Amino acid sequence: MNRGYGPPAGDWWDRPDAFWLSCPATPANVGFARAVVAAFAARLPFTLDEIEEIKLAVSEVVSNVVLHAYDVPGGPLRLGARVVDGLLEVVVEDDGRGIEDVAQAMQPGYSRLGEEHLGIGLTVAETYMSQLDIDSSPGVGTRVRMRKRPAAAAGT
Amino acid sequence: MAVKVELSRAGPVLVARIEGEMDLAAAAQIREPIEQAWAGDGELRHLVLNLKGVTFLDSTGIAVILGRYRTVMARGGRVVVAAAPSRVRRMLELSGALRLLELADGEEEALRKLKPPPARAAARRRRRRGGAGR
Repeated sequence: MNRGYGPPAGDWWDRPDAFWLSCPATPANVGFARAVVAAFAARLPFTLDEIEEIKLAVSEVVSNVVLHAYDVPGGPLRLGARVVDGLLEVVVEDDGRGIEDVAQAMQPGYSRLGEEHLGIGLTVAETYMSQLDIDSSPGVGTRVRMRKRPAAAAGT
Repeated sequence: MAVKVELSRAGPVLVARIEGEMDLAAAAQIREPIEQAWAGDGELRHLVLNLKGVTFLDSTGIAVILGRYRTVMARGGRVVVAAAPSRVRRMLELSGALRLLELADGEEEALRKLKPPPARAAARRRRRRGGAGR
């Protein structure tokens, strides 16, 4: 998405509950990313099970960046979360190769890598979050935006 | 966060006790010692993965498990996942991995599952004696 290291343009910082950070897309930062988002998510009334689901979704999406975005590992990874109308919103961005066919990438069992890659990461993330959108431009980068509403807050 | 893999052997069964988070960062640390032990011992036939100490499992962790399943299948063996905490088990279910893997409550049960059942051994003996005892 080539926007340097800042958050998405627009109203990101309009909310008091928000963070944005950047780090290299490396395997070690997968655990870091899910720990940061889990810690942030604790300010909403999520159950422990829901926090685990958020950790899984973040792990899957960030692993995808590490595995697929760059030919050489360690390219830019940007991660942010904020509270929007009682929902948790998580954004994961990279400046990598992009996804030619998002619908295909979302198919369970599809992976551009072969053996030892299940191709279910996005399906898992989609299962555990209320909403998942992918915005990708080949050669420019990918942005994944996920939202989750605490079950305790449903109907309020 | 580091993952810990402890290997032991019970007859033709390789037992791997895994502790920590099974994610992309841990993949090689889990894969390599198991593959090394397996390749270095042609008598090994089955694999028990004791996941009691696993605090996190995502699809890259499952890919490591299924990769080992392929290794074991090449020798006609079986893989039993033992003592998986409920969240880990749920993830295994969601991924469809349980279509290939067997589950056991603990390591002992896993090892029992992998022993040929005495009834079948007795049937084999009967067959060898000339098919009597039907």
